[in-house]
Amino acid sequence: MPQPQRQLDSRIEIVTPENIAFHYILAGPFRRLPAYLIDCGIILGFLILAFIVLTMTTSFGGVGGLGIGLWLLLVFIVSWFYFGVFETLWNGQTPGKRMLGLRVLSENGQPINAMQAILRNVLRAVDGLPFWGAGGLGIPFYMCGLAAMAAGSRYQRLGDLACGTIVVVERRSRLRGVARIEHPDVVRMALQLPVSFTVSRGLAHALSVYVARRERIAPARRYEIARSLAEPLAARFSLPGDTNPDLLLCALYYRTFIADSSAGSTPLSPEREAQEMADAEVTLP
Amino acid sequence: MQFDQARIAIRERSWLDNLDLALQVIRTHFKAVCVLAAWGVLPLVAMNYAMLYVLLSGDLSEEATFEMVWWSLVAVLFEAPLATAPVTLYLGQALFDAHPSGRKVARDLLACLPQLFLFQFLLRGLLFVMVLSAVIPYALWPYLNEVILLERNPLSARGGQLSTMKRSSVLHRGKSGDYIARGLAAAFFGGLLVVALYVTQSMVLRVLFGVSEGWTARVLALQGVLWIVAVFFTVVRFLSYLDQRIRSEGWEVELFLRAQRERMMRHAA
Repeated sequence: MPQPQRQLDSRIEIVTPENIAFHYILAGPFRRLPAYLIDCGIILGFLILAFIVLTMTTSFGGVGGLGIGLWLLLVFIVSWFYFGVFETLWNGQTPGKRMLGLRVLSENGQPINAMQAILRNVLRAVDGLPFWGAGGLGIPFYMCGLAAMAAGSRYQRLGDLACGTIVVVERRSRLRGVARIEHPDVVRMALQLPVSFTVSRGLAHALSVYVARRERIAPARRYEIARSLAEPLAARFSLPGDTNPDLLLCALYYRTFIADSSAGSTPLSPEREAQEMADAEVTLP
Repeated sequence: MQFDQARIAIRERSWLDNLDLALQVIRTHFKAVCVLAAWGVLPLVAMNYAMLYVLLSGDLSEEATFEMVWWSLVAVLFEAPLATAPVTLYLGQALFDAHPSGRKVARDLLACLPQLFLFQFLLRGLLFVMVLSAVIPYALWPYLNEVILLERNPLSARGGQLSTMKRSSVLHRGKSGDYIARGLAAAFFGGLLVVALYVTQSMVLRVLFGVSEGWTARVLALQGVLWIVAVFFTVVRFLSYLDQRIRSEGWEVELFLRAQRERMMRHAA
């Protein structure tokens, strides 16, 4: 059987060693840039503040040169270890990443360790090439990093590839219950549907997708969308040709998810289950 | 063809996600995008070079350099919808078809040329007379090119089919604030990319090959960088257009229901 071609998407599935599958949305260079700019702003603000405090306090003691020296030491430490230390202590996040809901993970979905956090950020010096200006104080253009991210499917810069890490978007998922549809017309139409008709798993999924989104779609467009599925259903139920397609899909949804579930659900027969599986495996010609 | 088996996963995405996904799309269709982009872009690079040569004729002064950057930018902004039309047509095909055909892209392009000329050359040309009004097509009708190329509406409404401008206004209605914000963000990211790519190519040429830039090299490098970014944003715009249709028209729901209908019909047969 031909395998369906993988769809292009930034969503990936990671199966942990405990055989649990997690779905993540990968953060690419453009999603990561605002977080990086926030972190750079924090670093810059901190260094400016430190410069003022250090030079002022040491100049009162008559050792102004010491203040500059200490500040340069601070510049070195902060520019090399800010990201690594935060990612170690905050479980793969820096302040910028936390604000924008990003997190660094190992490729196998595990949290990163200190070695990974420090090394992937030390390698920024390579990812940041070319630099405009002198050494560590130059502005990085990240062309090496961008090229590496564009070449791979997991948006890994060289530091990520070396340490086996990825950056993902943390999503706060909302659990949605069954959409309540209790309009009298829907209930009336649901009573007209043949009791013998069993809704397949695929059809039930299609109905739930439609009902979950229909409120956000203009009525005329809703009618147009619903018609594609409602027409064969109406023919099968021997309903009149002018049956409102939106109403029909809502009625079938109501019967499947609300009326039937309150009456108690019945498991699928083995034959029906086999047919469902066959339906699910249909692929592109 | 199964409608829920599009080559790009059909779901709602943020604009930043679309920027990232554009990298994957370009990597997957790298050869075709390069060939089709070159097809549309190279004649315009030659034309822009000639225009800049007539205007500035080898002047390397700071003032002339500023003028060169300005006119290059204006030219690319004006020409981008026409030059990148083959790439948009290809992406439209590649969304559902595993083997898009270059011949079909050429045929579709020919069919769309009159409307492209009218809306993206004449109308845009009129609006480009003033700098402020030149922004209108980007701010108010960002997906006009996709409407012309991929939806193929007639010039005037007939047989229940909307005209191109009506369809465009329906698609873009009530979202101008979003589009202006996105336009500003695109200018920010595009500007960063142009600077980063230009500095990189300049450094690579100087450090690795010892080539110092003359006037011709500078014009061609700038044109090259601007067009690379323009093609990248064409892919981003295509993905944003899909996203727009998903959000406002429930496109992913329609594809899903049509796929389910096909399965039901096949099962019944």
